Amino acid sequence: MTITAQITQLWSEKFGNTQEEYEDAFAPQISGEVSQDTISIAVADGATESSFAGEWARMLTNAFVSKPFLTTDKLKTLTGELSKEWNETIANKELPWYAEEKVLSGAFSTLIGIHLLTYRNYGSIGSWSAIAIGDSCLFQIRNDKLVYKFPIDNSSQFNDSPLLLSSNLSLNSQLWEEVKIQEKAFWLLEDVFILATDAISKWFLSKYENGEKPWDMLLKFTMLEQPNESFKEWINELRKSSELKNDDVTVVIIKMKSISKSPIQSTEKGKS
Amino acid sequence: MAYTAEISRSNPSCFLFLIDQSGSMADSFGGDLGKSKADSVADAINRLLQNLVIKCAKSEGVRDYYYVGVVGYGAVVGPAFSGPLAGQELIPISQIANMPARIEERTRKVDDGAGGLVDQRIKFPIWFDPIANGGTPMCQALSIAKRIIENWINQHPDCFPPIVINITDGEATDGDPSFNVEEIKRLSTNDGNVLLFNAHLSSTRANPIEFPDSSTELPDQFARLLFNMSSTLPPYMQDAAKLEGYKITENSRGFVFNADIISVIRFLDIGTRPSNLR
Repeated sequence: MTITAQITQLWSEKFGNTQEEYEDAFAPQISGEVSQDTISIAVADGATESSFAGEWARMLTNAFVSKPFLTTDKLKTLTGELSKEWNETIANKELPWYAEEKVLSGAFSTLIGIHLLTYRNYGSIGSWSAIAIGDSCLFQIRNDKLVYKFPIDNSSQFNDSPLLLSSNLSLNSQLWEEVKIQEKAFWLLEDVFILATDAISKWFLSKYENGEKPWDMLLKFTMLEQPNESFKEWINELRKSSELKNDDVTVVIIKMKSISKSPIQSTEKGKS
Repeated sequence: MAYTAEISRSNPSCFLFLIDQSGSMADSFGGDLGKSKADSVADAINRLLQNLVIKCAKSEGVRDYYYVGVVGYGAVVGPAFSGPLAGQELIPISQIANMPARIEERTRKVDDGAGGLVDQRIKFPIWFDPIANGGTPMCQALSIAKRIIENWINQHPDCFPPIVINITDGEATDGDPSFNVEEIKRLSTNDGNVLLFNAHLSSTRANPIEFPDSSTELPDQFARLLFNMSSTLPPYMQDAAKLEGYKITENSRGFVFNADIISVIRFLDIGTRPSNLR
């Protein structure tokens, strides 16, 4: 069984920062239609107050899509391996005192990862599982309705001090109990999943709580050939009107298109 | 709403530290004969600067979210940096990061992640050594602070309000500093009034007190004077302090007695701060 989905990736660095200073991450870096047996997508948000956080966020998203970890035990094992890799990446750099101190504290990041599969032999139903650390979110839309919010239910639940996954293993002890795992929920054809970092997730939930359908606006970008420039302009307008906190923003939209029995060769249209 | 301006490189804010370097600072700190108040002031200002630098440090270097000044008052009153920073009133935090007087190596105990503690060698930058000499011209220092802050606000009218932190034993020798303090607290940007906090280092052996909401528990007149001079913590700092476990009310002030004021640096909002980062 093969799943076909359309993937759209949208991102914007914090206003006033350079693109190189963008510290969110998403994987895989594929936009367009994808056909595979299973599909794994991850988004992470490296914390501003830690150094080399973008690298840590990228490592986490890449690790999730190459081998989805959907239990706390697997996450613990993987964090140990990635922490070693992160430290090795930094170890060869000549750093001033403040950067050394910052490295000792470790890098911090959120993670939201979804793993999509087919379900038995049903041609129009699939299953999905997800893992969430911190305040990056997943929303499931069906028939123009928000049917699932994970792991945050309400816009009032966001704050600037979430518990995050650290490359410094000694700082993760309180975290493991806070890891949220969603096992084997269902998806139907034409469902849409949205993975998003905190600022835009908060905007999304606020609009929803106001009786609006915030996904309508996000879905418009999926119709564009090169959506990201328009997305950045729109995000900057939201920032100017104080509807959105000035922060790195990442949104990945997954539209579930079809399930087929015959293997379809994986296709990729364009890279982000 | 006040105290909501974003602190960024294009809209930086300002920190001004006032440090008491008078002769009375040679007296013992908190009844501890091995440590003087001057030692405690030097330790406090070095750690405040270190923490502020680290807060602004990123992979590529230190981002100039803050401009920082240090005014010393004792035998001499004025900008207190030595070396290449000498004589400058406000300096971008990246320059402070790169120009300590010296860097010492120290050892600290850290959690090994398996329930034990291990020694970790760290670099510890020093900008100030203990000084205890002359009177306590706090009013004069506050008047210099007012001029520096006024200039800053003229150039940065939309910035997050400057924060002034005065570290002292509270015994001014050039009059009652309350009037000068009120003048500074009346200064404002479009985002709110200047905040003035006090860290009181006393020779009295008494329990440390952090961010109290009244002066009733304070042990002496100097502590009460400094408490009365301190700004109320703005709501965003109250929230951050509560998250750190401090007992905070809406009347809590930016005042500590024989305690660490470094937590104020953690209360500053320049972006996501993981709650498991301490």
